[in-house]
Amino acid sequence: MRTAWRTLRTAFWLGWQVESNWTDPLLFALYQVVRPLGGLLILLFMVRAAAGPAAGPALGFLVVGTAFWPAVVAGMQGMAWAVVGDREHWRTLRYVYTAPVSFRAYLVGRALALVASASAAVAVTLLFGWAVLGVPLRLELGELPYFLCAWATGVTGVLALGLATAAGVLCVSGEAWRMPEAVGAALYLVSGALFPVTVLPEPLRQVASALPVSWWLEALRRVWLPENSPQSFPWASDLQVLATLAVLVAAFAACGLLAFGLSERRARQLGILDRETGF
Amino acid sequence: MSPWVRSVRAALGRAYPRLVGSNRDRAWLFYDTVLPLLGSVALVYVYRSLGAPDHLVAYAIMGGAAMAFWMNVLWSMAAQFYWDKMAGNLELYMVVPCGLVPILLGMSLGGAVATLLRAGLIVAAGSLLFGVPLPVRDLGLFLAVFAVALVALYGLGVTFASAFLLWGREAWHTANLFMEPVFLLSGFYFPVRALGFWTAAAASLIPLTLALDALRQLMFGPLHPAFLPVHVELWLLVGLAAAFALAARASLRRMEHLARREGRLSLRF
Amino acid sequence: MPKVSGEFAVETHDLVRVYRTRRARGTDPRVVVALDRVTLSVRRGEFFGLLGPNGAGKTTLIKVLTTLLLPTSGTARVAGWDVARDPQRVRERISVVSGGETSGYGLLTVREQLWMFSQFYGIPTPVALARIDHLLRVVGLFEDRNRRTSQLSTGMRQKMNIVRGLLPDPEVLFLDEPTVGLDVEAARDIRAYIRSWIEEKPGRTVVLTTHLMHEAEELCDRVAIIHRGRIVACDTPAALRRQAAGGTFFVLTTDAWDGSQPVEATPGVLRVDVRALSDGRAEVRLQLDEDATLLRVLGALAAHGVRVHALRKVEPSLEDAFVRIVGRRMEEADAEATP
Repeated sequence: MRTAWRTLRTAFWLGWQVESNWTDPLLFALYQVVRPLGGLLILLFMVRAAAGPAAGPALGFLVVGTAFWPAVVAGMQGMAWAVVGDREHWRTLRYVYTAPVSFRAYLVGRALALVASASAAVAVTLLFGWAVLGVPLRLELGELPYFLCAWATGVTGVLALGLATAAGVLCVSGEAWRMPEAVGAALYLVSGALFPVTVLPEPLRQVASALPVSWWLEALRRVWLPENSPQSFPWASDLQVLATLAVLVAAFAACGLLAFGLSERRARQLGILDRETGF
Repeated sequence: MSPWVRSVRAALGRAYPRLVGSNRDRAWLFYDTVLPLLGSVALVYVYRSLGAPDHLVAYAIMGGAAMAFWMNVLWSMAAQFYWDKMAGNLELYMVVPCGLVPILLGMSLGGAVATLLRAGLIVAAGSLLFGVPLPVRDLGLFLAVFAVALVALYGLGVTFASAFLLWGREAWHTANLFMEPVFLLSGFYFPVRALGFWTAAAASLIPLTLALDALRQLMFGPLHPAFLPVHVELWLLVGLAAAFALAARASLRRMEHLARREGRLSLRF
Repeated sequence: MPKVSGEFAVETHDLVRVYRTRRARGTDPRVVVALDRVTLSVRRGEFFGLLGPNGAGKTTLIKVLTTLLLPTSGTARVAGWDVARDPQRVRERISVVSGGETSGYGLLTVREQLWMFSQFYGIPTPVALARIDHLLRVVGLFEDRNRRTSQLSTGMRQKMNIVRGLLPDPEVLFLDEPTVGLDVEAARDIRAYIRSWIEEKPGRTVVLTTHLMHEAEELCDRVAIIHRGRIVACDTPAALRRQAAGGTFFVLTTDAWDGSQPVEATPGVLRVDVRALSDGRAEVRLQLDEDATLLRVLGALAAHGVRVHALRKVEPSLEDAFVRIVGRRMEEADAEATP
């Protein structure tokens, strides 16, 4: 346990270095917020094109979804990128993997570093939505435990998804670096990041209901937005949302661990664990 | 041997990996088609959730096609010299007698042709999925705008190729900075006029801004709030194409200068 | 600018290359003299070696000669053309292959990759393909011509790189540590082929950089020893060896050597190099002023209780020449250059 904690801490430090030390702090800070703010403004102009200046509650829905999305991307894609980056770019995968530490703890550490760096984007986007766009965002003291609980459970769920994606990446090469992006794009579509999942056709709605990310975003919106805001799962109470999120996260964590174990085994059988593609 | 013949052969030689790439590794086709399409579909649902008319839904689909081109220009043109440097190709490119220009032209040609196919698939799939008609009023002008825009766009890519290498420590990060901000400024998913005249004018430095606006005018007529008249946009695109050709030349010279005189390929240490 | 000389494939005169690097913003640049008034001439048809430890300036010199770097001062001509003023003319006549190269695109096959590079030289496709197939057969890679380059081993990849270098049939071929990282067999194959290539057609020239003594000795007609950016010797390997023959050389096999043996202090001993053997013994290479000194050495060893198991007299090697000229062995100079 102590070794796992030390591994996680070191991996977190490494992930932070890889993420941040390519430029000076100012440019890094700009880099962290430019993309999410750009994304939010695109949506703002789309809403205005469709509904005029009085966009109403839809804007709040978009702001919260866009604000928290970088954390989803960072947690989910962070692990897979650590695998691809260490294998293809830094060429350190074989050394990390053969070190007497938990490889999973290492990947979790790398992903958490990205989640931490994405937190700035979350804060800035929420602030921008509230101060500039006038979205009625709020976080009441009484709801803080709910928020923290939802945040922690959601991040765990995102890491579980990341583990499953990293499992896939372990067994493919070449275009492996785009696989996390593909998973992210699919989640973006079906998990209610931009619009309530009720808009989706029935089969996609079913998929959305089975994803922890959909419930996570729903829980976060219930904390940050007024009660009359659009919801993805209007029939569920706040506690039901949190409970469903917890159950789904547990299921995804189990599946992620299983998938990763199987994939690791397969990659070792095929001898492709540290194979560089040379693209 | 005439330098022209050598240049043509070199350009075709460099275009080859781009052209066989999609065919050889089908995953490229999937990622370059399905990914922008997924993004566009999500935005289509945003419009649908707001009860937007069909032509706005078509904007989102066109945005997906524009995104395929922009991603190709960013990741396979602008960042390409960076990848080539990492792989050890760039030094070889600098000692071959054809020079860098035909190599860049080949990259552009291969990239444009391959992306044309992907963008076509995105538009076709999006249009079929959501039953959105994509009418074209003046096909000749439409194709002229499209062709000139492609030349200008890849001219920008060629300029970026050496500029990224000069400025960037990690082309990956630099390219990432040019994603959402460009989708926003070029009006990938909404009429660019909504940004206001001066912002749209500044954003017109990116050829996709004018191209999308002109193409939308030619498709949706008065339904589209135009930024500038189509023929003005066409001539501006011609100007951009010429300007980027000059900028690319200057940027390449600067890169060669730094590489040969200073022994480095970046403006930063 | 017309060609100035037809006799030489490479000519440099007082060539200087200075790098200025800044460790951090606001600090003064650090000045590194990578080439210091290098003057040398390589005749057409010659196999010329540049021998030197890491950081000696070999790669910088190759970069200047292949138009990748401009000289800070001085002149350099390749195939008669000035590298600074006529880089295009130079590029039309040269080719370069570096060791450990990973260039190319992984999704292309070996044949396609080579064809692509041939197009950068404007070689018509039928000619290029025929040449590619011929060269692939020669280096033993023909069976793998349709394999993707991402699937090649290091040795196969380097053979492919050699073929790429030979494809344009250059007047001057620059090989920068071409066998680095290769197994013994692959390195031997490549050396054998390069040697036969230069002999195949008069006028072909090879400039090879290496820090492998045996490679320079086996391949090169002449060798320049470069150290700290300066050419400190330039001659045939035999002549360089003779330069080292300031004395006589013996190799002894002795008991384990702990450094306390009083050999270096023995009058007439010029140099002692000791290598530990796997069986616990030591191989001691001695450079003595004359044969008679050996008796004094053996006497000193016997007095110290060291048994001598074998003794033989040897010819001076290029390594000996290097040590005499540079003042230390290649490995020592490499270690010194490594920060």
